[in-house]
Amino acid sequence: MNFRKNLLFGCFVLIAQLLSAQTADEIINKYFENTGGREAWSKLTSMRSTAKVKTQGMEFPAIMLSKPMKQKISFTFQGMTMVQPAFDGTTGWQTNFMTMKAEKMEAEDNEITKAEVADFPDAFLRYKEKGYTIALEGSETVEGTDCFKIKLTKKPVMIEGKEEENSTVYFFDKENFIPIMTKSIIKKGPAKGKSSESVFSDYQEVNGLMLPFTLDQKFEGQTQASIAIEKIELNVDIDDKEFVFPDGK
Amino acid sequence: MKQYILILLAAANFYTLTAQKAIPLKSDEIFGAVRARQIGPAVMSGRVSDLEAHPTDSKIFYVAAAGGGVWKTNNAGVTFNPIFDKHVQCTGAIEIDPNDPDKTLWVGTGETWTRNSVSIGDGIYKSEDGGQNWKNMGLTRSERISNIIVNPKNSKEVYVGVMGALWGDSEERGVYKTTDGGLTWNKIFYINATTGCSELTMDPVNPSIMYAAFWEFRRTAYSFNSGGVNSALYKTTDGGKTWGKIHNGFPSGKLGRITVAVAPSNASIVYAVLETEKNEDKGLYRSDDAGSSWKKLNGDFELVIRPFYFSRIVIDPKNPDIILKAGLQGYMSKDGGKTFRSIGGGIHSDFHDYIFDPNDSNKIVVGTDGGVYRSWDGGSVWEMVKGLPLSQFYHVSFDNQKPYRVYGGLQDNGSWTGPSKQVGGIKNSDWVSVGYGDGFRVYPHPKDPNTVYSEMQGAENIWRVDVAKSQAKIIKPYAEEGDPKLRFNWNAPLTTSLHFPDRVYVGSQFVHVSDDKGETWRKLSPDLTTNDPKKQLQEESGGLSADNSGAENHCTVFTINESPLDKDVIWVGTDDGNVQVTMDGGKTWTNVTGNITGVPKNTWTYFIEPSNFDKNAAFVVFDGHTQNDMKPYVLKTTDAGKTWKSVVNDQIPVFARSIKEDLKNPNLWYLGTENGLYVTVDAGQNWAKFENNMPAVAIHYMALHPEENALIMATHGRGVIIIDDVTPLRKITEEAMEKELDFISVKPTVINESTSFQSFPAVGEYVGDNPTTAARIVYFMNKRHTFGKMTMEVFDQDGKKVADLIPGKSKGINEVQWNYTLNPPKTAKGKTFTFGGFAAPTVPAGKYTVKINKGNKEFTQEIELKYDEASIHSLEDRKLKDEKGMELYYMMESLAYEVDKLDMLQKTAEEILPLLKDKKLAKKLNLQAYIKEIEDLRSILVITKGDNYVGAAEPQLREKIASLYGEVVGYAGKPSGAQLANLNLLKTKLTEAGTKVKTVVQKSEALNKELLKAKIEKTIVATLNERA
Repeated sequence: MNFRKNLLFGCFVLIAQLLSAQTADEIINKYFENTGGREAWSKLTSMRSTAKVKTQGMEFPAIMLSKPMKQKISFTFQGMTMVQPAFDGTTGWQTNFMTMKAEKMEAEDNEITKAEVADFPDAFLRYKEKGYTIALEGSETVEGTDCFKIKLTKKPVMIEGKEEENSTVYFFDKENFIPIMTKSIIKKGPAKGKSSESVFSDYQEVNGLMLPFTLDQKFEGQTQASIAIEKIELNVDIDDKEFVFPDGK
Repeated sequence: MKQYILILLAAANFYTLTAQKAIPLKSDEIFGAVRARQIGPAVMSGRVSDLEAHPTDSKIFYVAAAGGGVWKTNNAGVTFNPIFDKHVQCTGAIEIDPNDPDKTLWVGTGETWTRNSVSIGDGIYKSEDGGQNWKNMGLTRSERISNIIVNPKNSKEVYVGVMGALWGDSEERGVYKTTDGGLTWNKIFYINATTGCSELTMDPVNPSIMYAAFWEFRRTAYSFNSGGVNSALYKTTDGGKTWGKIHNGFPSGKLGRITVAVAPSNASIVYAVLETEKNEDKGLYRSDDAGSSWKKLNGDFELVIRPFYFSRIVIDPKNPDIILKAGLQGYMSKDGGKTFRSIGGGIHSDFHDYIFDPNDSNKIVVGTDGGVYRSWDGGSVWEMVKGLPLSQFYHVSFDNQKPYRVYGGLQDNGSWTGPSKQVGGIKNSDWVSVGYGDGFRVYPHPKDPNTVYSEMQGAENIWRVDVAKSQAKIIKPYAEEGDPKLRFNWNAPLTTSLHFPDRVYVGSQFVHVSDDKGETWRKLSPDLTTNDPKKQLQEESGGLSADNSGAENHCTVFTINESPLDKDVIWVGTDDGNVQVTMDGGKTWTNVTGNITGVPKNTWTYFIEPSNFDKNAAFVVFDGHTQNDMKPYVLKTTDAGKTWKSVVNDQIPVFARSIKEDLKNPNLWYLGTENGLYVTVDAGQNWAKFENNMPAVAIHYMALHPEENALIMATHGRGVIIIDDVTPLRKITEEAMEKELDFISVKPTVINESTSFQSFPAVGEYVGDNPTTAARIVYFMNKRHTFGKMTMEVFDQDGKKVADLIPGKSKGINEVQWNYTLNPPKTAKGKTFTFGGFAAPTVPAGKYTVKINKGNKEFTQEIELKYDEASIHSLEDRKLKDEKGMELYYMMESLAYEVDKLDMLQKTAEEILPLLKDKKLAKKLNLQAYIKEIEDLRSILVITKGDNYVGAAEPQLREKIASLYGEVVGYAGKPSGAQLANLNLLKTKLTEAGTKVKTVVQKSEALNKELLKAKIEKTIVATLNERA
């Protein structure tokens, strides 16, 4: 008993030391290592995900397209496609549900989306070049799992005319060094100050990269929508025209 | 790493020979999806201790609640977010760092308005990200912090006024300073262990100048003293190195609580309100030379009233002559204190703090015992903030209605009943007042929830209320011939019986019982208290200002509880520490206090929980905080009080007030502490804090609803909080925790059949959450599922899949909600939406199988859906609805199929057009005419123009079918005769449409022959796409 106890205690101390020695950059390095390697990530030029979105008892197909500085998320309802939203490098837009025509984002939202889109292919890849900073903010248990808390801070964004911090906290599973949740604070609108969380699971390999196939979108810890990805295609040809604001259409 | 800890703990416990195997819990790894539900209300809100305005941005201010944490508004007070839920909810001071006002905030815990029911804090907290994350920066034994001041020129330099312990001596009082942003603190000014800093304020221009009020004060369970020779007002001009009394112009003799404020616009003008030995000296003093000399200006009632509760003055940031004073009502001077007028008539009394809008002094916010109010006109008219659920319940009970209602009384806010569930959420207007004054214990008659018993402070009144008829009869017991004066606690025990429906118990120093709903009473016991005359001198309470409100009444019965197993077993606890039990219905009483060890003498017996499993077993919760003892004391007896064993350990960091033993699992107990809820599943060997949507709030009382399996908590600061179904907690066993995936069966789901009506959200008004109406699929996992597919499907009894769900993958308890509908039908594509097409049919009641595929393993579980027994619909009605609804569902899909065919025909025909280079052939085939025919046909099947709003086009067949489909599946009962007739008509139309499509298809075949002849490679096709 005593021997076992000592041994276990030894292991415990060792592991605790190992864990405490992690820096934010080491965790990010491990993350890239465990998800395919920085090189593979760097080579990512485009991504097309085909998914089903489930919310409030409804289910509808969605397609997400990503390229550097470009993004488009479209949903299909009753055979009609709604873009929510798209960004073509300069202009962000979405389909109006009443007229079913494209409309531009408000200027401030456009800039926020621009900052968002700049993450591709991964927010942490070359984060310094992008002007981001990262900080290890200790540990927290999410999804019952012990996680490192890494705060990613991007360049500030303008919110209601005031410059505000643009940050997201990532929760990296300590066992696998992959993010199982991100959390950010809603910056504007009626829910300002409340938290929005994205929870990732069903990590699977696609062309050498480990990617999550299920994403639960939560508000203050309560699931609002779940996205079940059926297919992810990497480095496929996506015409730039896909992203362009279709003026008047 | 955790596994090792678990192994270690498990190994250690292997040798502790206890009947129940120890189950160490790490709450955030176990409780998972079991989530508390907050229902408020905010109708009466609750006590606010401090307000803080952003220095420049009028949209932002903060509210510190006496028991409900810290709240932030970003929109000038329309909506608020709680930002301090993980920490002690008793807060008293907020400071915004003026150098970094958007990010750096400080909170001092512990309230400084030292009424009898006040709670305690655990130090000072700092946030550097606008309140998202907080760190305790020390002063953990300060108990109550009066002010925090950040040097406006140096964020690292912070001064803190510590008032300190209320119920005992403490050396952690005085003025503290940090020069490293809170990492280390120096006590820079201290008087003695009985005198704390009740107010600290800084000169608006020179941060080296500060004023500090010191107050000698003490509370016990039975007395309150304000004032003494050590109370004084001090000033420093060297950043706190030296302090001098500034009493020039003050009367001699003892002083009590002092409030001091410097005019922000003129540092020479300082106001102080003094509590003094002589009544004629009490009142407002003003100095025009920065405290060097004082002159008394005014001794009005509102200026001298209850200094322990109302010592605050706030001065207009722009005008040094406009002063607001806290008090029973608001009090305002516009002439520098010479004269005052009342403000705030018609709103909740007991004002504690104000803020002025930094940009417009007409906009004032006040914090009261009943929440926050805003005035836009300088204090004439006030608008209540209706979104702050700070309600301070002392108690909660429930009835057996469906949905059940809850009942409880609140600090200074009466007695209420409200629903546990309501269409559209539980709104403030859903709560019904059933009392007056301070409210405490409220019970419905066990058989007739229209009859409700309630009371006010000190049992001054006990009412039997007819809720429907709005009648309240006073039914309190009186002293009989030969009786001494009856002594009732401020929060006097009132309870109904588990065994006799018309019985009511009330406790004074005696137990009184009525068997006729309070019409007549008899004494069921002798004086069960210590009857110590030294603790019955309430008339002398208050110190320099008499304060005989009844709040200090002592040597009283505090808790009366029958055994649920035996009507003759009644346990009684008294506020002076006695535990008494009768096993014969009150004929004889045994004082078992002497058998209890490890609990200091006279520790308040707060609650006794007779066991649900053994009539000789009971739990006692002692609360020592009024003896300055913050430790938890929870003991259990299994031999009717002869021997006792402590069932708490150092996992419980603070005193407790209530415990509930689960109704089904004898090892599952719930402990309500001053800082939140704790749960044990191994009979008290290990406790874990429950934090899922559960703030660290004081829980004064709990109730377990036996039919709903709901744990209902009376929190003293965050209203009523419910865990809707504790079943998953009942199933936490060591075996379950080791399994990869273990289903937990919960009771059958009653299908929700109510219609949702239009309602626009009352933005700003609090709306409590409803319990879910979805079917719950609950399971436990020993590890999170992060890699690879994990799926969840639901099958009906015929093995047909009815739903694909996304499973929870968390370690611990997962809960997936299924709204028991099929996916909406495939809908024909048109130019616009057809809204009926979004309707999803509800599956019939019955048993369903849930299948989880995880890796290569399959896990299955049966769940059951039931119809509401109280529904207005018969089984036949529902059957007809299901049948007709599904008929329409398939009609929707048939039409979609026909329209798909048309789309395909048109698409392929259009592709051929450019291939017809031979003009003669093109003319002969006339594909344009064919395409037009398709378009014309489509235009009578679906809408082909317009938009989704007022540009809508005339409805076509799709819209007509979809609309009827939506109507039929959207109502739980029988479709109307008109709907059924319409269905038949549409069926004919659909058949006709099918025939028309067939004609068009046939035409394509003829055309294709021609195309083939002309050696055109493509043909016109109507590919049969996936038909559901």
